[in-house]
Amino acid sequence: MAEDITITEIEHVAWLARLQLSPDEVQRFRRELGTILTYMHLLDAIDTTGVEILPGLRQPVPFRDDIVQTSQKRALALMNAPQVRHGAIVVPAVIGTDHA
Amino acid sequence: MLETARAFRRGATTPTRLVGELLERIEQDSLNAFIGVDHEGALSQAAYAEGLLSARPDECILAGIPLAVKDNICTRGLETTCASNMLAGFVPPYDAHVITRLKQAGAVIIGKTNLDEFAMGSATTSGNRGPARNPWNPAKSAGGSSGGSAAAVAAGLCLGALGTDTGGSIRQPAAFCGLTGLKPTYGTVSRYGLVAFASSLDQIGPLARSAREAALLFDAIKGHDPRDATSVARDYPPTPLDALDLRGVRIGVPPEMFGEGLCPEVERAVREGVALLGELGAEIVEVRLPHVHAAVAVYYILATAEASSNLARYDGVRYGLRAANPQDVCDMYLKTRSQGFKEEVKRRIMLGTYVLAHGYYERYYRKASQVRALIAEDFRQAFAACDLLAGPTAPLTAFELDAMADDPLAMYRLDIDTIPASLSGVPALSLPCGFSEDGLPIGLQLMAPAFCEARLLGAAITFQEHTRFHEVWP
Repeated sequence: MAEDITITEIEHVAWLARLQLSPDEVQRFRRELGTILTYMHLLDAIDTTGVEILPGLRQPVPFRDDIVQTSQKRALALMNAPQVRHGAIVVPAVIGTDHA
Repeated sequence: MLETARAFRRGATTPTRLVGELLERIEQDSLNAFIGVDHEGALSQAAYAEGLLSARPDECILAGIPLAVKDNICTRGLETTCASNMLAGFVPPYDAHVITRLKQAGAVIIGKTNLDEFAMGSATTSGNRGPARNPWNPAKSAGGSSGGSAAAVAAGLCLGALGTDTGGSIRQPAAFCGLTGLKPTYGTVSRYGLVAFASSLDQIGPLARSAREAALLFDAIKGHDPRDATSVARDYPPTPLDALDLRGVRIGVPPEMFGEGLCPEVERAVREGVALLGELGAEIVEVRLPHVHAAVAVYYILATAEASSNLARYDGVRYGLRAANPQDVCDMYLKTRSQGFKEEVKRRIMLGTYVLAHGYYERYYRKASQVRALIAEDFRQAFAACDLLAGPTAPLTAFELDAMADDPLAMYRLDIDTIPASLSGVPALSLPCGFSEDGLPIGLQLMAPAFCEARLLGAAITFQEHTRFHEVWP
């Protein structure tokens, strides 16, 4: 049985991903994600009781000495920024908007 | 590559002359292998290589060798786009670790190669630069996502290339274009300066005309780098470039990799390749990988989940595209991301966000992580019974450029043979083992335990000393 995803769910996920989808994209992703997630359910048949996540691939987190190191120069860090003023990146208004 | 290195040393040609010739050929290229070409940088690096060759001719085997680099690897001063409108015009202020290493070795980076957008795809068709075509038949895909790198090497536009492999993106294009492509052990090659797709899987590796040349490139880029927290600190001895004596080597053949969907002529060529390894002294044994049938499902949950997180950084603030006239900052995020990403990337971000969303995490992400552990355990047990694993690289030969355009799941399922090694973190390579009736290359995949690239490459060198498939060119 195909996974039934609602339009509301697709719109919610799109909002979480900060994507603005056209009505066509909503319909298409609803259909395609349904098909793909239905396929994913083959995992349900595999017994994973007590299986730890990725025991073999885990590596200890490496630490380095707590010493100040040089990092990228400001001009280089800013060279790809879309809008810069006084050595800082400019963005549109953050406070007082309609979005929660 | 080795022949060229010798030609430089006996004065038959020079890096500058060779680079000039290749730049001309790239100008005429109709395969769409390259996204960007660095005329000036290539010629100046060629001049530097000539200095190295006259000062230290016995060292620096890569000096003056023209290479191409997939366009998701940062190159200082040279646009790096990931074939995405999101990064159009992005000029990295630094070199990736692998680029620094290649430059130190005197290699010449001739240009940046085409790929699927952000390396998400198996056909090099999802990017903003159009498809990379297969030199063996331009109506077919070069494979993906490192299709531009594979097409460039196979068409003789460069002598070797770097690709990246998350679920098979080096090995499958290598198979489709008749090359040797290596995905190293996870943690062996630093990803510093690689644009992240799925961080628990991404690895950089070489595509070359032979296993020996792949080994040379691998040796140039491998090694510990503290700037990548997953880079493993250990000894990395040089890879022997000699053939491996296969007597006493046990090669496991998992029947699970010869299942449904495998094209009969691919199966025949792969089985003949395995039989040849047997004739050369290897003991061929059957081993089981009981969970690999679930590998595609596991991969497309974990890789998309990681991608949805990694690609959250493209918000129009610090670099890349910023949509025009946003009302406020959130409107800027929405418009920028909706305009900057194409369909396949949006699909994967949606899927990855879905499987991580509240209420679905346990069912998808956690479950997939557990099955990944079972697949890794399958490999551990298989390698207790054998030294190498062998199977097909892909179930098909190169397909039409527009194949499966409307069926993403069908495309995902074609990664069935390459994903298991990716999920397990073990090294794997593809090498040519035959041709289909319509003249397309077929790839044999060999896999080894973690950090056993020398064994993997040695076996491939032995195979290539007894076959000519890698010497046939389109």
